Parts: sequence; structure tokens; C-alpha cells
Amino acid sequence: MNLRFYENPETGLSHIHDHGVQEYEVEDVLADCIEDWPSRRGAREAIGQTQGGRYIKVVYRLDGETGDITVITAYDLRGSALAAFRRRQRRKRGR
Amino acid sequence: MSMVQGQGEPVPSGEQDELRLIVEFYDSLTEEEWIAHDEYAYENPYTVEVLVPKAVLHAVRELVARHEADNPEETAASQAWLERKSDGPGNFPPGWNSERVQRLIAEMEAEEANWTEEDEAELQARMKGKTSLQVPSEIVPAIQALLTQHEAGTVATD
Repeated sequence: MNLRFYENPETGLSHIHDHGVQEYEVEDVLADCIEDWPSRRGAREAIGQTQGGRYIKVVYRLDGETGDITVITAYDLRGSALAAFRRRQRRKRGR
Repeated sequence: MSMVQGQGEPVPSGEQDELRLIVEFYDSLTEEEWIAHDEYAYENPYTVEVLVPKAVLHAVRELVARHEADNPEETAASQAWLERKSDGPGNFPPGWNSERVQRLIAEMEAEEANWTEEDEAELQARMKGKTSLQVPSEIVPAIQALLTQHEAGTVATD
């Protein structure tokens, strides 16, 4: 799985750094995420837990021809957004 | 120019503007709008949920991406649905607004209060190593075939 990261043109760094997320954390989540769904403009969103225990949402695109993933951005999942994720997980219980 | 990690290729310059628009959308969302969009994604009539073992997660993602590329009309319809917006204030999807999100948050808080450590342990054990993936409905048979091959040990894994 080849990953490339969209850069913030103002900083020259991966946009994920704007939100305090590191490349290895994105790799953790994409390799073993809990939820993954289609989003806008051909992107997908994946939520998972890093090996360090953080819950992260990753916004990415996958190239159907090459299988390469472009990581667009990523965010810490916390507060009510994390609680909503946990609620969806509870609802899957018993399926 | 976007950097590449490891062996990947740079993000093509023609793709930069598209990615910037996606980033601007996410960066602009309030917490309420964020929650509404996440919940709305699960109302998508063009997708169904499948549980996928970690070992074949990327293979299933590639199946989905190829299916979307090969079925542009269906993909465009799903995308149009995802891009819809509520007529009300804020950046909410149809059927969602601040009041509905606040009701959801109140429900969540009540559920959390009744959620035991045993419940949590059971859920973690059941979901361990599996991903809940929303995929186009039409691709489910192909995914089931892949999962069958995986269980039989006849498919390459990540």
C-alpha cells in the first residue's frame, strides 16, 4: 500500500501536521481502521485507533488503477464526534 | 509540489486544487456539522455495510475503487447525494440541523451512562481486526467471493 500525503502549500508539510497527526499514525489507521465510508469528491473517510491509542479520522483517496492512497488530511477524533463514533459502534453490537 | 512518502509518486499538480477544496470543506466544519455529515454518510442509499477482515481490507478498497471507476453514472449519483446540503443555516446535510445533532448528543450521553466495561470489552473483542466498510451495493457479491477465497486461503492478503 503506497501512501502519498497532500501538502499544505503554505507550510510545505503534510496537511495532517496542521492537525497534530503524524504519518505513522495515518498508516496505523488505514491498515486497521474500524469504520470506512465514501465521502465527497471521490474521497473516503476512515476512523481507527493508532497504536498509541488515539482515535483518528483520515480523509483519503484511492487510485483504482494503481492501488495508491493519497492521504488528504486527518483529524483527532474527540468530544462529541468521538462519542458519536462510539454510539455507532455500540449499535453494531449483536449484528 | 506535494511530497511522497516512500516509494509513491508526487500528487499531480492538476489534483492539487481538488484536494485543497476537500481540505477546505473539512476545515470549515463545526463539531455539530461534522457529526451530522458522519451520520448522514450512513444513510447513503447507494451503499451497504460489510465487515471486512484486516487482512483483505486493502484488496476490498481496490475492488471498490475499480468498481467506482467502471461505473461512472452510479458513482456520480452517489457523489451527488453526498454533496447535497440542507436548506437551513449552517453546513448540514439534508435532514440535519443543530437541534437534531443536540438530540443525538443527549441520546449518546444517556447510552454512555449505561455502557459497562463488560459491554465495551465484548464489543472490542468482536470488532478486533475487522473494518465496517460502506461499499456500493452492487459490489457485495464480488466482496463475498473475495472473503470466501480469503477464508479458503486462496487470496493474497495485505
